[in-house]
Amino acid sequence: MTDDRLPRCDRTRGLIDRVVGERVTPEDRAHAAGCERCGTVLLRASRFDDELRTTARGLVGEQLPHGVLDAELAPRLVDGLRPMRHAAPGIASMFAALVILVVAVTVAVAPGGLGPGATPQDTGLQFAVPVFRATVDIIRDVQAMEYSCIPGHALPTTGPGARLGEREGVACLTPKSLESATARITPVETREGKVVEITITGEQYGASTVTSRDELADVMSKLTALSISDPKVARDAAAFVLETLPRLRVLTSGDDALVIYGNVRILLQRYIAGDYRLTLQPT
Amino acid sequence: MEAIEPGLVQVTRRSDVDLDSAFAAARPRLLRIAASLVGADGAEDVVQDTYITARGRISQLRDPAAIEAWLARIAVHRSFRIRRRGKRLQELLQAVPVPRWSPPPVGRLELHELVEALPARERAVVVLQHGYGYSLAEVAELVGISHANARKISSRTRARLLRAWLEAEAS
Repeated sequence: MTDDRLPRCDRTRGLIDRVVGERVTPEDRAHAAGCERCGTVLLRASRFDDELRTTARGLVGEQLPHGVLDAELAPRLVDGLRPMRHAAPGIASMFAALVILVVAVTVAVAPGGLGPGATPQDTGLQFAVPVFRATVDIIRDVQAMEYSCIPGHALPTTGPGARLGEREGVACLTPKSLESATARITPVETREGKVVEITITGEQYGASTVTSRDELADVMSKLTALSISDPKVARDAAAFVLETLPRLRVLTSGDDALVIYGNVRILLQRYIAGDYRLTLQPT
Repeated sequence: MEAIEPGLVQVTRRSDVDLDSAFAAARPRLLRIAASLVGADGAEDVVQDTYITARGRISQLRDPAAIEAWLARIAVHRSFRIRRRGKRLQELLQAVPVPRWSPPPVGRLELHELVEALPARERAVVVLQHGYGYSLAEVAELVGISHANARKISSRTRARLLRAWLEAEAS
């Protein structure tokens, strides 16, 4: 939104050219630090890809049917078919098993253990099983790992930034003892308290190294595993995060990977600033 | 005159009937998919094109059980190619005198307005890539263009949107 109170600056137009052309210089950044208008432009540019994803998702009114990318469907409609991006099984599954084991042991030895709420109640109706575990169960598990939790915020339910739920159930942060990275898990709830989305964000301290990326992948995969109700889906999703996160590149437009396991859609994104975002949604 | 095998005629007629009923069932979903990609105004055209294309190529459908996905794929494909019709329509509309219209203050221009104003093919790529979450290779496959072309459209569209969005802020 334009703020007419901001003083005009002769450099703003040139700065926009350089932002679009990906030629922003250290001098531009130094200037923007002291120029409110140019600083606003740089800040807005850093949010652009996130805003574009949110906007584009808001335009999706219908999912494409399963199998729409099957090359056999319309052989003469398209040329030059290319392979899809798949999450690779194999080593990932072994890592996943290890992750699940670690999480299970951690939870089991925690004070209070794993309560009955951790497993969906058997109602006898398949559709009644929730996709995600309840916020209270997630809190109990992460607090057992010394996470600190604070109340969440309300979320927009209309407009381009609309979310699946109307509030963050909680926001839990990794313990300070973690050496090279920090992560945060946020279940998104409906008014009735049903978890309809999980977001997990991660940042590295200082330079991004193989070690810091692996540590972050480990943390975020554990959080993934304890978010999903179905044990098999939880295992596959955790393996995907563990294997894929360290391989996402730093691109100007960010990098991301999408996969669907069972009834959960998993979008893993790495932003230009180097931080990560994992979004779990029901399919 | 070439002899017609009775069985073949029967198969062809059955396919037509199957296509019509399958299309009727899938139509609301195809409309929503097309609306996602090209906007509500162009969705009906896309769905009509989809039916015409499907009818002409029904013999290519190898798995009748996959007919809905096949129709959806055609709809995505047609969404990307509806540009010329849209452009022609825009040209016609420009020739029609309309009351003077004042644009909204630039600062109020939100990103969704910019995306919705994109030409159909650019919008389709943006929505498939960023909305549906397909990789550019998958987008290229869905709309029937090369990976390099998809990357070029994506990159160019991103730059256009970014510039317009930043200029809206800075003006």
